[in-house]
Amino acid sequence: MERETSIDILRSMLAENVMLKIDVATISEDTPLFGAEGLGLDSLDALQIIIAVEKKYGISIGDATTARDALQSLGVLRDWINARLAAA
Amino acid sequence: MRLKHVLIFAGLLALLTAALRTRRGKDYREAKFYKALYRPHAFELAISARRLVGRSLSMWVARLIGTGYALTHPKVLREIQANIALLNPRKATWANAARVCIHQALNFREYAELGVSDTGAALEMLGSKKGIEHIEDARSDGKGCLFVTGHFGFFELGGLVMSQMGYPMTTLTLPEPTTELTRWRADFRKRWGVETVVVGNDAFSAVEITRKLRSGAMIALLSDRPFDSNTVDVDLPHGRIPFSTAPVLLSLLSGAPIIAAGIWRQPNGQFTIEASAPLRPQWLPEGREATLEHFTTRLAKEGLVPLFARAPEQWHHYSRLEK
Repeated sequence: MERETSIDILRSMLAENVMLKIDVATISEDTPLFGAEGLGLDSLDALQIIIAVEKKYGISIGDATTARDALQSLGVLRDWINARLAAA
Repeated sequence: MRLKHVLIFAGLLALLTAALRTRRGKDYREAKFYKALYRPHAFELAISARRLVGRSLSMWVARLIGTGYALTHPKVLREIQANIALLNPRKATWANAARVCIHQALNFREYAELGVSDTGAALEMLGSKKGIEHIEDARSDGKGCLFVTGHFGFFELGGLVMSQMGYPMTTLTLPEPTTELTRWRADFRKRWGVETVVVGNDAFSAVEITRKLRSGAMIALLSDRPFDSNTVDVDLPHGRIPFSTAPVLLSLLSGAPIIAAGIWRQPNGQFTIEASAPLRPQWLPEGREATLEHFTTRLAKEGLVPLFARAPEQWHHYSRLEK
């Protein structure tokens, strides 16, 4: 399992797991992942990311509230994963 | 007496043909007929009409509407024929394509029938049950279960039957054309003990569904009219069909097994429900894409397509599926 993550790693993960409508390099750490003002990912995309995080870092995102908090943007997701890896 | 009925039927059919022809649109979802039908008042009207005219006449009216639609929509019929050919080219006839339309109208009538029936009468619509032992097998895992079907037969009846057999169901649906209809249909299902979760509005609804599955929920969803990019193209003997990867994704995340199921109308008017052996997806060493492709293909080939092939004239797709 990886012990730390970064925006570049998460960008790659996003590109591998969801069908993006824009170039992944243009996604900043603050770009919202969901909603019309962001990437507009859907509920199955959310599942794909959750599965990818679970497989790569061994961290489970088990409920909708946690998912909503952790998957706001790549920056938020990076901080969320790193905090849990540090605590493990 | 019989001649009189035939003449009345022919006259009504001619009138309906003319009426439907003027309302035809390019895409069935854009057609005025479709938009008018998929509203709560149309469902309530159907229930009131069923109460007024009785079972037998309502079936004639449904057949009339289905036949009228088939006669006035030759392009749609060709699309349906192409879809039936994916299951069985020998059955891809105009008559079977027309039967798809008639069965759809009959399903709408059955909806009205449920609206005027008590539980006992509704369950009498069911003729036979096959593979029910697979449900207990799936439940022995200690997780919930995913029931996957398609736009096939009268799948709404499946939730009712399962709930009455002691397996309370939750149905996943996409939003209906109107919010009012989404709410109306959810309330309708609730009457039979079937909960509804609308996916698509909330990006995190699928996460909530996996939580429910982990705590033992039994969830039904359709997989043969996928949207966007979450699909696998399954190679069948007569063509490729896209299937949703959602069931396998949900299963991998929750650990819940998948059962392919179908409920379709027999010539005597009663329904057969059939469940197949549980599929238990596991991560493959080849990775995520390979896992999704492998298990979605197995679900389609071993579970769903054989069920659809039992009654291709009840597989309800009105635009071409083949990739």
